[in-house]
Amino acid sequence: MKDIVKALLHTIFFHRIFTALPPTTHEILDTTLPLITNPTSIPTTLETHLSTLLRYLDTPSQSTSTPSATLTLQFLERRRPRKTGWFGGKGEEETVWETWVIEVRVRGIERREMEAELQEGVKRVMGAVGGEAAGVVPPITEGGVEGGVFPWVMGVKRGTGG
Amino acid sequence: MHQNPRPAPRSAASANNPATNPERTNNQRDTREAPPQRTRSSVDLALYTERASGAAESSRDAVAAEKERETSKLNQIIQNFHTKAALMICSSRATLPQAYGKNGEARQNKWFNVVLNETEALLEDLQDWRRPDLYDDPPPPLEIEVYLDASQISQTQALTIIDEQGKRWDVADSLRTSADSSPRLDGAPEREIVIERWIIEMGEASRYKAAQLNDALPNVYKKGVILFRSLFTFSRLLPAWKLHRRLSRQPSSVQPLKLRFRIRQRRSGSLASLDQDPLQTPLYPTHLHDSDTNITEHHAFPPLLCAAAPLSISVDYRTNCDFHIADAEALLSSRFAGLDAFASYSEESSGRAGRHLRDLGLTPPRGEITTARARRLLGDPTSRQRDLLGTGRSVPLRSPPVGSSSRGAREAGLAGGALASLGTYHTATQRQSPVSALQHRVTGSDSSSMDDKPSDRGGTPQSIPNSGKRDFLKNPPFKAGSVATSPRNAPSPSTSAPRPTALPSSSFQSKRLSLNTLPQQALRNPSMSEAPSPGSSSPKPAPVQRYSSSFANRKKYIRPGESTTSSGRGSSSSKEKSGNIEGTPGSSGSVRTDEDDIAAFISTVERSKDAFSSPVRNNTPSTINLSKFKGMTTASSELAEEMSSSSLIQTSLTPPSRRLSNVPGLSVSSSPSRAMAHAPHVRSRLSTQSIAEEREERRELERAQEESDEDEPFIFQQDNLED
Repeated sequence: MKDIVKALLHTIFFHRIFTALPPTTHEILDTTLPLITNPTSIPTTLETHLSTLLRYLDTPSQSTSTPSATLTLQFLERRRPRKTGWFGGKGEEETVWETWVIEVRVRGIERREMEAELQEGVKRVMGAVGGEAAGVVPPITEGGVEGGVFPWVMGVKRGTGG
Repeated sequence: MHQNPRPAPRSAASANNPATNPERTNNQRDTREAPPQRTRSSVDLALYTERASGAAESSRDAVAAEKERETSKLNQIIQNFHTKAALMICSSRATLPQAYGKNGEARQNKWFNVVLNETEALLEDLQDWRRPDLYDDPPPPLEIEVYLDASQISQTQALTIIDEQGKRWDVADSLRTSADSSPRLDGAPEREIVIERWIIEMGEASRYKAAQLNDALPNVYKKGVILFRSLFTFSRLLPAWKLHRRLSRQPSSVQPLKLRFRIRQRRSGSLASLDQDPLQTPLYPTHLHDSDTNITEHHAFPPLLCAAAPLSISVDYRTNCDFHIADAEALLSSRFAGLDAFASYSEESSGRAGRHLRDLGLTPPRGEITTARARRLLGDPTSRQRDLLGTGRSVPLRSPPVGSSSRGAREAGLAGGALASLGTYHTATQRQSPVSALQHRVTGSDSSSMDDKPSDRGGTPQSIPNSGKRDFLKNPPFKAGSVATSPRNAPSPSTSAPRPTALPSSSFQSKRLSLNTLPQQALRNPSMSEAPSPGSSSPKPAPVQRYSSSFANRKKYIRPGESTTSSGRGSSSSKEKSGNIEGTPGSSGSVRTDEDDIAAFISTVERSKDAFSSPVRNNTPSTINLSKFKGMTTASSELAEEMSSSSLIQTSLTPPSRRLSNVPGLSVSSSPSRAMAHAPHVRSRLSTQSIAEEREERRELERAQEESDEDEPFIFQQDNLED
């Protein structure tokens, strides 16, 4: 199950990395999904957050019977305000331009359902990033992009609907 | 390096283009909004500097030059949009030859920030879309058709597809049906199955507002990046991708199926002239199952808006691409057994077979055999027989000929032929082995179990993919049957089969196998059927001897009442069928020896002469649920495959009488032991719960069969055999 979340996150990142990259894929539940290996900071950070997520899921919260947790991924944009102002230095702001919320609930479903749900999730990712939503992506500037990716922040918390 | 502001040569575009999108985008963006930040070797930079400097003087020239550059860039984008999309699609459906640059390094296409290995295989096809003036002269839509090329499958093989319920369908039949009904433009329609159709086109600009279209090129490029990422991901979500992976894993020498694509211009009228879109050709009757899934689905990517037109990619794809190669014999036998809903699609289309097919595939046949189908099976035996004999394959008892007859008549012919040829059929050694295996199984002989085991395992390589899975599912039933079903166990006690557990599974499989091999078996080893039950009365063995022992196995499952009747009916294929059908209901709860089974079967066959109930359906030996028949069919066919291939089986087949006598001893060969090994293996896959369920189901089925089974589909066969 952790793999599913991981696969979804990799897919999201795949759609948000703007350097030329040879697409690599990995198999999950008999489905091929993109995998991000480079920049390596992404997989490693993902792992950290995923283990946190799993930890949350393993210990069910008191309120709900089914363990659930929410993972949020936010893409930030570093903006350099035009006006340097009197502060001298360049003021940089980080604004969130996209937030992905992945709610994870543990339940027992069979493999095929998991596969279907994973595909559904991936399609939603694609729908979210494509089309008009593509315009949401802020301009890619040199400073704002590190390693081809916008700065991102990931958070995990218990429960859902947070 | 500076990119020439003038329309750059196409070939240079991918290499020379500042591939790092951020840079390019950055440049353009920033320069647009602010003074040029950096000097980059890009058109944009030149553009901007020129703009800045030329504003004062030849502003008009500058503007014109800028426009020209914009146009050229736009052209490039359009060009590469088409090319990249084609490259991405084709590379995900086929292995393309690598293109190399001057220095021998692999060239890569880095457009839209997706690095793909460049290939030259598409250059020629894509000429239409690589012109530098695409903006002014929009090209026609680019269409990529991905199709499955089945022209290289041999005569003994058949292309099958598995639908959502796990039933196998013969594709050739379906194609022939549709081919007859509608003309096709492309050649060899029967050997091609269109799986996907991608369309890359410049859409209608009028649909979008000017503001939407006139997006800055860097933005366009950025959105293009996202689009191509999605395209990459999506192309791997489609069923064709899995098919491609599966096919490419096997060496081409083994795998006759090839996934190919063709690139062409999509003419608006190209499909209109066809009565039936080859992509939409249903490969199996769709109304048989409650499918929310259509034959094809459509997906359209959000278009990439650029100044010229919205660049869009869309795809129509088949939802089911679960193709497999199956051995034709196995198919026939499985069809014969009625386990497979192999009824030709033509039958379906003809409407008569609909009910039958439904019965076959969908619901456990309640003993009803579509009259139409029965008639078909009965009719025209000669043609089928000729075919069958010609190929030297064992004639499956009743299954419609694999791909050979798309029409019901042909199916009937096959069935008839199969039956008719039973007598004349010399056991193909391959066939015999399964049958013998079955017989041995029934009688508890090691050899039979051995035979069964191979088939248990997974049948022919071709059918392994689908059958393998089903084996897991279905094999347990067999096994369960052996353990749970008393009839199954009957042989073991009587024959002192060394492995009672193995028997059931083997018997199931043997039953299936017997379908195919029946003719041979019956002919060769009439006594085989007798063998299982050493203690059985002698009269029974005598008549039965004519038929393969597999029959005997089946007999076990036949109704208990059958034992008294004709034991000498033998194992004519028809008998097998009828035996199967009847066996199911009859076998419940009765401990039978093989002899009894044989006798029962014979009686059943005789009785069924009158009515042609579900001919194929009930072939499965007794207790198995019709729903499980499918699995059984698969298993049996696979079993047959394996058995036929195993030499051991053959050897065991030879002396029927010896086998019979040896059944208890199981001393013939090591195959039984092997078979036994398989049986437990298979069983292990299943949970006990499922096995128990299956047992129950089987019992229920038997009971149901008993009530409903009145007809013996292959009565005529019996007659033939007796002659």
